Amino acid sequence: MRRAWLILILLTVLAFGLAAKVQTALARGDESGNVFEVFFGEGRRMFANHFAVKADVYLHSGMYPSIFDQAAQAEEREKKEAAEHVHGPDCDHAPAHEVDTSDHGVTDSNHDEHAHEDGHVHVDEHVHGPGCNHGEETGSTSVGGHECDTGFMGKPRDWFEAMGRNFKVTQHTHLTAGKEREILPWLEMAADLDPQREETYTVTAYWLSREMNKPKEAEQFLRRGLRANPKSYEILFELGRVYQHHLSDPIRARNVWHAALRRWDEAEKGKEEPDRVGRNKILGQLAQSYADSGLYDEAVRYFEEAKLYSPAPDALELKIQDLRTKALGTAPAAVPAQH
Amino acid sequence: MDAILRMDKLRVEYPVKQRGATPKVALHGLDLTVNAGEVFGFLGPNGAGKTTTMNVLLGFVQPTSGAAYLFGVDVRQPIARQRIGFLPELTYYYKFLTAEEILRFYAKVFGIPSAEADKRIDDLIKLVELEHARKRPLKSYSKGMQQRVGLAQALINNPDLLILDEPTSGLDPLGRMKVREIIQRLKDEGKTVFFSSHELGEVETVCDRVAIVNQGELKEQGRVSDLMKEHQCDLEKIFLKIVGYQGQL
Amino acid sequence: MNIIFALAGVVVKEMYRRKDFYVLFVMTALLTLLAGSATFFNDPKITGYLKEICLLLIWVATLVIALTSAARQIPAERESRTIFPLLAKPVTRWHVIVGKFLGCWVVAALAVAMFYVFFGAVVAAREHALPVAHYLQAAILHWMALAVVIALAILGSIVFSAPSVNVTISFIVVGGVLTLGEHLNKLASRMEGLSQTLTSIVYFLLPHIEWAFAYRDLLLFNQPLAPWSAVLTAAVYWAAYAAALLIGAWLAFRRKTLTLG
Ligand SMILES: Nc1ncnc2c1ncn2[C@@H]1O[C@H](COP(=O)(O)OP(=O)(O)O)[C@@H](O)[C@H]1O
Ligand SMILES: [Mg+2]
Repeated sequence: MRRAWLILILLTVLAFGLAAKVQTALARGDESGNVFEVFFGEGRRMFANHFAVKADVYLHSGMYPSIFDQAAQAEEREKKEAAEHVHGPDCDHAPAHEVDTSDHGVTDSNHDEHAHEDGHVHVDEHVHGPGCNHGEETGSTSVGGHECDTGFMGKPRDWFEAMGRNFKVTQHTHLTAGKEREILPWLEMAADLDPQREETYTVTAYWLSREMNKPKEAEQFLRRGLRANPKSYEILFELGRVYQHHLSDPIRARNVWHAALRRWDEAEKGKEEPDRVGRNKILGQLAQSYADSGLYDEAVRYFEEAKLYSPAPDALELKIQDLRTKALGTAPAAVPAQH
Repeated sequence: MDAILRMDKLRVEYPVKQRGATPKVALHGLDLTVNAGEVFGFLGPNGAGKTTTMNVLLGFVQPTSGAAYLFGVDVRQPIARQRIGFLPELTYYYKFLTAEEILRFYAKVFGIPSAEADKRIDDLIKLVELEHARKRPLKSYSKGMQQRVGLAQALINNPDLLILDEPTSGLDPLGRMKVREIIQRLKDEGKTVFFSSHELGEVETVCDRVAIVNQGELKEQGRVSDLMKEHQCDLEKIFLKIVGYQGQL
Repeated sequence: MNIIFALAGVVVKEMYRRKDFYVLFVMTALLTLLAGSATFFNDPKITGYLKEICLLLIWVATLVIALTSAARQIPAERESRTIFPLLAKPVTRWHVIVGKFLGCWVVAALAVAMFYVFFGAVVAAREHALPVAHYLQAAILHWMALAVVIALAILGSIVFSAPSVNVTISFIVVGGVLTLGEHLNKLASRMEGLSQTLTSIVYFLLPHIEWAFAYRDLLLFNQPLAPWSAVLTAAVYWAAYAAALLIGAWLAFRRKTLTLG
């Protein structure tokens, strides 16, 4: 029996090893490095990613498409797109997310569906698939499962699938009041396993500061992320937000955002396709912060720059006009943060 | 006298792994009868076919042709084994159970009511002299003690026929002595005992009749005293003569 | 029936005298408590991860208990040669198969009951909730699914000569069903020709015990109970499947030559 155990353990290890290896090969066309480094490195990353997805699953109370559901969905989408050849508003994000996908594993690929302007992939309120209707929760418990609200699941294909749905979460509910905290362990574990995964810190900080009223913890966690990723302008951006909106410290917020802009310059400036969305976010927040503190000249300066990166420069132009008139008019006044 | 055990032209061929090879014939049409109340010694050198015969009697191997009967019932029917007890050579009983628990388990298999089973277990444990160890798990037993548990389990259903395959092999002289005593006692109780052996000393003292097989064939059978008279020598010489002097003992 | 119960009794006795059972339970409990002692962002109310880890450990532990105990039974009888005095009594091979199965299944029942009581205690301590009906459903489904696992391992113990090979293959099959079983139809729908047919056949022939595994999510996310009629249907389906496996095991065992010597 001892041998049986050994074989079992070996097989498990092998399975993970193999998965990690395949992952690597897929991600970067197999540059063979140190086998062990690849093995542990990719394995860790894979688990970290798995945990991050887990957090998302919790956010959706277990109603979450598996990679097989996603593949089926993708196929359907492809068919549709081929038929209509219409691209949704998500198109801008697509390239960025494709890079993401190869880095963080297949399970992330569904995120491009609910990508958000602010980059918080986990923050959405809407639903995964077409045909999931929040309004009608019938709660019927026939073998066929719930008629509606099956979202990505669609109609069961056979008796087994229909039966199986009795034992699955088939109602799409988001975690409610205070339950968001359940995602935190997974995110923290993801950060433990792969400290270089920046997204983990920003997403966690978002939830901590905005939904759970724990800005101090958010700040600490972002600082930890920053120690692991000193060059990350994304983390700095989020940190600035925490200072600005949750710790009422606009001066620190703006310092952090200035640092973020410098990091952005270092990382993106020379690139053929720099991360314009990222810079736009930082500039927008920074300018707004100045505006809120009554420092209209500074605000105008950064809104002007933001125009270069924004997909909607006209709207910014209006804002700038508004600020200019304000600057002429009165002394600095505390305007409540409008976000 | 009633035939309790009867073999009728019993032939057993073992299939051989390689294709085309002729199957290995372990028994060539064996005819043998054991009567009620007899102690019957089934003798032969290693490889003679003794264990094969046991295999057939217990239903583990189907005869290629011929048949065998226990109490007149074909051995192919499980019910034929209701009234027998069997002690295999070299068996390691459930190590995590105590002698008492093992006997209770086999008693349940026979559907013996528990009050009766308790009494019989007490008697058997006394018979095989394991009173001091009856509540200890078998993993703490010596080999001889385990063999005695085996003997006790063979007797749990108060069988009318006891089949023993090389009951004394692997036992020390004291152990052999004990087994011989127990066989004698069973004989006194009127039981029938059929056992195989290649050790002749013990056979001479306890057997009413013997059969000598070699290479799957019956060579000689009869009362020990008659055989000795007929051949004018002791059993060992007869045995050696039958198997040829070169045969291994 | 006497014979079957007697055989089952020996299996159960063996299990509670061996240490592995307790080791697995203590390990599960320790790991759970260890996981429970972790704090995340100064928030003591977080429980989801703990429930998830505990349930996963419970599944692994019960699978290990079920598989290793079932896979061991008949090979051990043959190795120690106790099968011979046993079959020399009015015991048929069908008795042996069913008796061993029943013993392992009773052991599984004890294990499942113990583990879910533990799980319930952990959750009650954290969440101050005790959804007994949910635990009952989970335990029933879990136990019925283990019937299939045990029957599979018993069949394997007759087909494969080495117990280690059997345990490994059974573990892979069970693991495969639990993780992929429900998706094979989706995979098949994206294939073509022969591979589609084969995948579909596998999908329809597999014992879909992944439903019991999926039930964990209902506990994790405090979902409503599954309909009892569905629980019953699943139980009957798995019982039929286990019976079929046992009949297969018996057919294979019947043909096996077991000879003294
Ligand atoms: N399972 C088997 N398969 C093939 N041949 C066997 C098998 N069992 C025994 N034999 C052969 O049959 C002959 C008789 O063996 P056996 O009955 O065990 O002899 P004994 O018990 O008298 O020593 C031997 O030649 C042995 O090699
Ligand atoms: Mg022999």
